[in-house]
Amino acid sequence: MPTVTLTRKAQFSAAHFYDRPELSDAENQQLFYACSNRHGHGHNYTAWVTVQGPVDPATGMAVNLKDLKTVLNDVIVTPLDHKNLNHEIAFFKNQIPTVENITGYLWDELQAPLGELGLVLVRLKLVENEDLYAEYLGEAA
Amino acid sequence: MSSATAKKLYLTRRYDFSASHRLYNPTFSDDKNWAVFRQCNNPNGHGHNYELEVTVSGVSQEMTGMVVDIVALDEAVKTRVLDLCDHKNLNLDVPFMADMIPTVENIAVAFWRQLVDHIPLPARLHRIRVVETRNNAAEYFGEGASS
Repeated sequence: MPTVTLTRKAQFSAAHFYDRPELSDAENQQLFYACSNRHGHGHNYTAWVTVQGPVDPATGMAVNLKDLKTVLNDVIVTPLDHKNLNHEIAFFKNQIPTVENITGYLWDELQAPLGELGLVLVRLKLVENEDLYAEYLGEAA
Repeated sequence: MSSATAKKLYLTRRYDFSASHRLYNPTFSDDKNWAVFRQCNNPNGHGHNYELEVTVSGVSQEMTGMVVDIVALDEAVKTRVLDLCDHKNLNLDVPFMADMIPTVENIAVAFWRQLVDHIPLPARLHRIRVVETRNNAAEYFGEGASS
């Protein structure tokens, strides 16, 4: 059976800000510029989730897209869409919700649900805006 | 990969610049230049709205949550590439591209060489991607690298 990769998109709109509570307002502003505004700002994020798995000869599919879409909704969209990442996502109570950290967080959250579908996550690309995106391919630093 | 293991992340920043160029080899005859480069050999030049993607690799820094200081990266790209190429003629106006045919491939390599030693530490330059039109783009991963 050929093994192919399949990429599915998930989108969510969320607010965030960058802040280190041990620093002063001035220090946070110097470190994070406009992103330090504690009232938050927002993005329309796009997550491109690339999974890998064998193609079932009976269906021609590596995964039923309905099942993949359910996982992405349950892990990405429902928890994050129209939320304030700093205030409403436990992981980001003490981790700065940069596009890099959100990518790493979602990678970890997706492992088990995708594994249950017989899929391996091989690439996660998170686009914050048209000029900035992060990617993780599962490599250790 | 456990959540506790430091992750090697890639962060890409995208930029725009507009430039003109002509593709030709000065050692070729006119006929050969037209045959090889076709309309790209137009002696009056032509232009593109280029897109540049600069991808760096590294870990999320504990203090900032970022792989790289984006403001510092933007400044390096601005001073070493964009200011030198935007609204310029790549054949005539760009010192670091002198004596090279400014194909999208060569542009990607030239931009790599301009930036590789100027990426804010501890991030490292991973990939330069230059988009010439919606139908063609070049990527470069550095000397001797495999994608």
